[in-house]
Amino acid sequence: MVMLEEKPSHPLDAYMRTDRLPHIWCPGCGIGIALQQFLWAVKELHEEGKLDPNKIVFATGIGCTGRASGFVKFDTAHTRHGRAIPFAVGVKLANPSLIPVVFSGDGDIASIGGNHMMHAARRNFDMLVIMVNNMTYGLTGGQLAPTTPHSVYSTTTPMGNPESPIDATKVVYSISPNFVARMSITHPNLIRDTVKKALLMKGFRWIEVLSTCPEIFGRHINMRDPYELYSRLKKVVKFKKVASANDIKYDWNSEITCGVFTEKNDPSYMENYLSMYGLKEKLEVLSP
Amino acid sequence: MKAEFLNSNQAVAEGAMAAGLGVYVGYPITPSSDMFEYLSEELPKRGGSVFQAEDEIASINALVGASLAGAKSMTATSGPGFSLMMEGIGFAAMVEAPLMIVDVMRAGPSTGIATQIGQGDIYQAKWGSHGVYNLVAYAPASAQEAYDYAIKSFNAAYSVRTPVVLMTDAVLAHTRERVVLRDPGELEIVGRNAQKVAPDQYRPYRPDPEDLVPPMAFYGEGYHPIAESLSHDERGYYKTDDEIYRALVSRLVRKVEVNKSKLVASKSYYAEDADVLFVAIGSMARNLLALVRELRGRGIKAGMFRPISLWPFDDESFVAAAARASKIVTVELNQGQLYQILKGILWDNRNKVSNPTIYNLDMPLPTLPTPDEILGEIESRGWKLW
Amino acid sequence: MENGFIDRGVGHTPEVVASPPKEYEIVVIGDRCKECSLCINVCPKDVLARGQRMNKKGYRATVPVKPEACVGCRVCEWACPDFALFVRPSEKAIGRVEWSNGEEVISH
Repeated sequence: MVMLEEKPSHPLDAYMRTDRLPHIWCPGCGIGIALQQFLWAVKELHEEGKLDPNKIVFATGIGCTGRASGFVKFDTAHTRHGRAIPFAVGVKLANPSLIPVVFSGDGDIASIGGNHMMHAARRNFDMLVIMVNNMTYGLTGGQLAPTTPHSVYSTTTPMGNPESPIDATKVVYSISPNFVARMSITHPNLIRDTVKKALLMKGFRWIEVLSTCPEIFGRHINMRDPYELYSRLKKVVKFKKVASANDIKYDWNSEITCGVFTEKNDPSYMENYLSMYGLKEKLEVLSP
Repeated sequence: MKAEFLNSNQAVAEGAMAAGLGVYVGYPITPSSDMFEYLSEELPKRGGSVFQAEDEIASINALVGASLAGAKSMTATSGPGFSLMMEGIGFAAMVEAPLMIVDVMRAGPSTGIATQIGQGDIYQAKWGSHGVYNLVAYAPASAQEAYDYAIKSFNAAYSVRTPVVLMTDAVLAHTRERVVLRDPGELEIVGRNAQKVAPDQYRPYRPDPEDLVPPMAFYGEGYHPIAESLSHDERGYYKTDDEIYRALVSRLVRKVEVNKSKLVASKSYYAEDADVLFVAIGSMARNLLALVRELRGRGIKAGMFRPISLWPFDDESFVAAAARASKIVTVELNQGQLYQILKGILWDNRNKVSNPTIYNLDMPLPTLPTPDEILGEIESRGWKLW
Repeated sequence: MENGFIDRGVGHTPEVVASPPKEYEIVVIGDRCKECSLCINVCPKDVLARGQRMNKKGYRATVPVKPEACVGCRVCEWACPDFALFVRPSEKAIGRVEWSNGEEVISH
C-alpha cells in the first residue's frame, strides 16, 4: 500500500463536477456510459482545437438522464420536464455563438417533450439532442414510457403494456433534419464517434442512445443483473445502413436498428433566420 | 423624443425595444398577436430576434433560456396562453431569470371571448404557479403608461431577477392614443448586476446581502452557471435539507419585498377629501374616472385610487388615499379580485383608516360599462354610497 | 464502409502508433465503483475481479488482478457507468485501486 499525493482522478474529471461523484445513477445504469462517451467527444474535440467547451450550454430535462446536468462542468440547465429543447432554442436565439446540447431521457423528450422534439427537428434548429432511451420512467419508479415494449410490465400497466412503443428516431428521420442516428451503450466507441461528428455539424442533430436500466426496467423483465440486461440489449441492437424509414426497426424482441441514418448539411434555422432578417452581426458569430 | 399615435400593443413593443429587447418568443393569441407581428418586423431592424414557437409552453421556456444566455426577453399572450405558461413562470422564478410576460387580458375563463376585455387574471399573475415564489406585475391604463411600464417592467425584472407580468387588456390593446417615445439618453434602463468574482469563486445563487438578489453571470462568460429547477443551495446543487430549502424560497419571496419601494406604483385622484373611494385598474379606471368627475360635479366627495403595480401592491399609498373614506368601492370586470386584496390591506391597517365599508362592485362583463352603466349597477344593488 | 459504422479516420486513438505499447496501467477509483461488474464481464482477458474492500457507499470495488494480461482495449473503461476505471499505456503492467483517503493498493 502506498499513500497518494493527489486525489485519484479520471481523465475526464476536468469536465466534471467531481465533488458530486459518485453520481446518483444505479449500478449498471447506461446513462453514465452515454455521458462518458459524450465527454470523451468533447475532450477530444477540445484537444484538437475544434470545440470550445465554454460555449457549450448543456440542458437537461427531468428524469434520471436529466440529472446529468449536475455532474458536468459546463454552462448547464436542469429545466422542466420535457422543456430542455425549447430552453435550448432560447439560448441559441439570445447568443448564436453558444452551442446548445440537450441530454435527456426518452420520457422527457418523446412523451411530454414530443411536440418540441418534432418542431425543432422540422425547423432544422441549431442544437444537438441526445436522447438516452431506457424504455421506462426510471426516476419516478418504473411507470410506462412511450418507448416501453408492448406487453411488458410497468407500474402503471401492471397487467402488461397494451400499447405499442414509438420509435422516436424513425419519427425524427421522417422529418429529415441534418443528422439522425441511433446508438447503444453496448457500443460505446461508436457513441463517441457519432457525437464528435455531430458536434461539428450545423442544424438539428439527433442521437438516440439505447440504454440499460437494470434496477427498474431490468427488474420488470426479470433481468435485474446489469450484465444480463447489457447482453440482452447487445443481442437486439443491429447496426445497418438504411434506405428509408421502413428499414428502421424498433422491436425489443427482434431488432432495434442502429447506425447513422441521415447526415447532411442543409441550412440551419439560425442561418436562414439571420440571413433573411438582415442580422449580419449575429450571423457572423453563429457557431454549429 | 417624439410623439406617435399608437395603440398599447405597439406602445409596449416600443417600450420593450427602448429597454433593449433582444429576444421575443411567442405564439399567436388574440388580442396580443398584433404586438407579435409588429415586433417580428421591427425588432430585427434593431438587432433582435423574433421566433414563433410551437406553443406557449415552448415560448416561456425559451424565454428562460434566452434570459440566462444574456438577452432581454419577452412574450405577449392572453388568458389561455398565460395559463399554459404557469409552470414556466415558476421555473423562471426558481432559476431567477429576468423576463417580461405581457398578458393582454381578455374575457375568460377558458376560451372565453377572444376579442373582448377581461380583468380576471389579477390573482393568477402572482399566484398562478405552484409553490413559494414571488414576482412583480404592473397594470397600465393608457398607451403612454404601457410604453413607460414596459421599460419599468424590464428594470424591475433585472433589479430583482424575477419574471415580470405586464397586464393590459383587449381594449387598451387596440385603442390608439398619443404616446411620447423618449430618446435613449432620456431613459433610465436597468440591466443585470454582473458577477464580480473570479469563476472559481462564483456561486450562482449567492445573494447580495442587501437586496437579496444574486449577481448574474450569463452563459458563455466562463462562469459555468447552473440553472437548477430543483431546490438548491448557493452553488446550485440539489439539496433537500430543511434549512437550505427554507432559505431559498424565503429569499425568493423576500427579495421582492425588500425592494418594494422601488417597485410599487399607483395614482390617486381627488383622494384628499374623498368619502367614497373607488378603486379600479386599466381601461375600467378610465371610465370610472369619468364617473368620479361627474359625481364631484354634483357635489359628492368621490375619489379614485388606481393601482399600477398589482404585485407588490402599493398598500401604503392606498391606505393614505383611503384614510378619510367611509366607503371603498372596487369596480372590476371579474368576481372581485382587487376586492379580496383590499380587504386584507384594510384589515392590516385598520388603525390607519376610518372603519370604512368595502363594496365589491363585481361586473363580470366582456365589455367596458359606460360611466352611466356603472352608476346604474351601483343603484341596482341598492347601495347608499352618498 | 459497411454496416453503418462511421469512418473514424486513421490514427484515431493515441495508442495506434508505429509500435504500440505492450503493457498497461489499470486504475480503479475505489469510492466511485458500484459493483455493477460490467467491467469484469466485458474484459476479454479476465484482468479484473471483484475486490473485497468496501468503499464508503458499501460497494466492493473492482480490482485489476492480472494487469499483465491487459491488452489495452479499454472496453472495461468504456463499459463503466461511474467514471471509476481507466486504462493507459505504461512501462510496466500495473493495477491500482485508489481510495479517497489517499491510500493506493497496487497489484502487479
